[in-house]
Amino acid sequence: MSERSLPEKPATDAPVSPAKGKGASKGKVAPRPQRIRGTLRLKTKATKLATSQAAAPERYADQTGLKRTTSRGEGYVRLRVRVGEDGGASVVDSHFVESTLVQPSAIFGNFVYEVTEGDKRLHLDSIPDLGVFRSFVNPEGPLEERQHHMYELKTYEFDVRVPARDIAAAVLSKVVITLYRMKEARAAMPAGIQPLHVQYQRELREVARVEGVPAKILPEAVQRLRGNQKLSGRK
Amino acid sequence: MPDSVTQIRNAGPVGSKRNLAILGDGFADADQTTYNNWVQNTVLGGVFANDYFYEDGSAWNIFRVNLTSNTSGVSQRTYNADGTIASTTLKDTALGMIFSGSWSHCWMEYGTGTETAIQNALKKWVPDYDFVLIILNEPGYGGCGGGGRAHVTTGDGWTVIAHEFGHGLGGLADEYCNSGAYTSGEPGAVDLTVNTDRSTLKWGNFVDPTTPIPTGSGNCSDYNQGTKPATWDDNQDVGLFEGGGTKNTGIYRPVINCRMNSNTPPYCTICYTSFKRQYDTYTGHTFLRCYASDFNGDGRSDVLVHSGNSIQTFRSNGSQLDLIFSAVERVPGSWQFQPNDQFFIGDFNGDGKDEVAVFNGVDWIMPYLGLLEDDGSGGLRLTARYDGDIPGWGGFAKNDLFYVGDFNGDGKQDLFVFNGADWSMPYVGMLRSNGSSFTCIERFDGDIPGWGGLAKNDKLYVGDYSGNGKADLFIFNGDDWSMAYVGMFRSTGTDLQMTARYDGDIPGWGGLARHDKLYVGDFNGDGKADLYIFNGDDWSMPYLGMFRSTGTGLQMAHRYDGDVPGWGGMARHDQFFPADINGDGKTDLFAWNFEDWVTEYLGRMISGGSSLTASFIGDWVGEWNLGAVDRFEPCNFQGGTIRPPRGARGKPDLFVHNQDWFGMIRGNPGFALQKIYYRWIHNYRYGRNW
Repeated sequence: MSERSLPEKPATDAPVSPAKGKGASKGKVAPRPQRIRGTLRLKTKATKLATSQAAAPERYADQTGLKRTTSRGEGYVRLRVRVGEDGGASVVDSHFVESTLVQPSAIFGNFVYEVTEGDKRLHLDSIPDLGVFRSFVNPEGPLEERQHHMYELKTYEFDVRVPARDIAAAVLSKVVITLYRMKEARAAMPAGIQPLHVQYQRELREVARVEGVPAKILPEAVQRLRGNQKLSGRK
Repeated sequence: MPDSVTQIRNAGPVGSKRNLAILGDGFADADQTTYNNWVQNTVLGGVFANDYFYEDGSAWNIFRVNLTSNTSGVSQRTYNADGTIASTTLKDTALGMIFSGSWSHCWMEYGTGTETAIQNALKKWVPDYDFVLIILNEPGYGGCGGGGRAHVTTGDGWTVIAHEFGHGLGGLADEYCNSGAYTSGEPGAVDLTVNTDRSTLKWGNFVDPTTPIPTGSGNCSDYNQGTKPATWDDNQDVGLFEGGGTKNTGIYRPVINCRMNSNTPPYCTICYTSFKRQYDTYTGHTFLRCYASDFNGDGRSDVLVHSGNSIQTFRSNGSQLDLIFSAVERVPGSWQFQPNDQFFIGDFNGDGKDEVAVFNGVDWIMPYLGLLEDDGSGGLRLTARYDGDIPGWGGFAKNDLFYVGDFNGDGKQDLFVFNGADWSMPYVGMLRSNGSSFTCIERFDGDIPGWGGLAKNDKLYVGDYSGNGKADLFIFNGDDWSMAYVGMFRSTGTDLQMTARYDGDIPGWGGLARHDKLYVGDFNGDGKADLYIFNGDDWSMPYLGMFRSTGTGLQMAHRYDGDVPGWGGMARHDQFFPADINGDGKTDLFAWNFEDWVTEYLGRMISGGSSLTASFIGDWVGEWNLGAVDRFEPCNFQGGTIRPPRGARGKPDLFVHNQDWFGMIRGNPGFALQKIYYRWIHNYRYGRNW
């Protein structure tokens, strides 16, 4: 590789002949407009304006024509999971959502779910509040009512999100949804890359688990995606 | 009226935000305005207008589902003392909820079809909800929360709902006391503990070492272990107070009085920080785009932070920043924020306070220019907007570049605009501020007389080089011609007149070159803007020149070959930020280099009028780890005494920022870190969030 070999500047009191490169030198007036990208594209002729202006409206109409930021087909599946009285869990519903999906960087709250395929995490998220109802405090009631009245639910449901591409590519029988209870919260609990049960053995306790996601419950958009992948797989 | 949904807060794509669905029950056709107003006043104007939820509003999409009930009000049920139903009066409502007003029955309950009706409404209108707020058209007090839902009445105030959100969205525990002793193990919630060991206390990093642990002992205690300091803040100062989780003893809460205790105070330090950590990912906040400004005209630099479709402004009190304004999606007027908004700060109405011009040529199908001004309560609102064009400019385009300067000397800053990329010829425009709007008063098509043709790579610099109070223009071009040029264009207030053109050289500089970089500043304090020129690329060593303005031309005052004394050697990638660092009315330079040496250097080059004296600091400024990702904004967050003559403001300080960190660096008499923030700007009474 050759080193840069550059000249020193002339002394401040030395006469200078400017170094000329390629192209034209400036003249007294502007050169004629150049065509760019094949088209001569000029602004409309400028006109002098009256100085008085109409008063601005109190409120402008909303800006319109926002360009699309989510690429077509990008999305995720939302699975509804029901936990029964016996602690058994199953996927009861699903639908496709066209949107980018953020992977949380940390876990928190009273419950956390994780979706895995083998050792690979497909998604996780925290659930602050699950399986319980609280009546609001009665500020004017007797002492016993100046607190929440708690009702534990025998069955409850929660929602799970999984990137559509990941679940479309997954072996569904190996997909596991695990719901954990936060037994002991730490101030900061990064999501990390290892499965949660490995990282947070001490802090989390498994509450329910779904092993395998039935293909028939997945939304049509994902089933189509799975079909396409199978076809391309055979070729 | 058919059912519908109104997204009342659009923070971003549903998968990158948390989504709050609001459903109403018992609101008939005639009640829809009542419903809308309640949501507006209580949810947006209450919960989301205060402390944590105001600050992190950009994490939340809010959907108001407009369900029309056939009758007004909800079904009612009364209970006998033994808990049996005394009476039920059913109404035909959208969700079929029944209000009882009975604490032991959660104040309300579901009718036979309620769960299905809720599910159907959510599936249809807000299929990716995270949390559901159900509002009963019922004036009585009461509410029932849990399982990702909160059910409230129109009789509930926003502070009650904010407390409930602490449970439902924050996973926080109650911090109030009611009766009895706690006898179980360590609670999972972040705001309660049974641990009295300072060294392992889960919120121990927020407890001042001088604060006794426990701080309050005994039945639902206040501060009773020693004398409570006079400056103690019952809501924000953290200690260890017995009583919480509804129990009087055996368990501890972090502060005397939090929103999770008595609803009305803000969330305490621990609850606030827990919320911040939980939802930080969803806010989209970063410190990449920060703008120094003075929104209240107190002489101290505030900061505007733009992230995606939200902005926040933080006010300096001289030593720290505090949140003043937070806007998601839009400000009234309206301007809808987008990731590629460009902000230009200036006093456009001459009131001594800064306003914001904002341009977006990328995110919409047409470019927009807006002017945001003080809304009277510390926030911003749109006062003028130009959709696609401002009359006379002939159409905004993607690569329009704006420059702030008061070109007519009326005390209101104006805008120059240049476009060298989108048309068949380059254009320069002069947009005069009328205080609350702009008018394009002049346009130069392809040339400013004498310049010999505007060109694609012309670079514009604003400065009053003639010293007449009107902002003039320097133009440099090192790319488009066979030699490099500098032009000087004096503003007449309505026009630009070339007063000098330097072809290939400014006497004494030894030749203008392609990579010359210009910095404008009045380095001799004579009221005329001068030029610094740096070149680190085109010669065998870096050069820095000082060129004094004569009012119509430039005269070299000094040239530094390879070094400015005290800087330890100029290098190829030196960067400069003009600023009056020592407040003597002469523009100095902050210098920065992160590329050419084994460590990063931040320097001060103080102007003596015709020469510079440099000093520097390497690697760290206090706790700030200087790095390649850092960006700097010269400012004056200290305010006060440093205010040079001629109304110009000294800028002795720097805001330094990158993706995750924000710092306040004092630059005079030497560099010192005033404050450092990670991920969010919050002034903890003790401790920090990292």
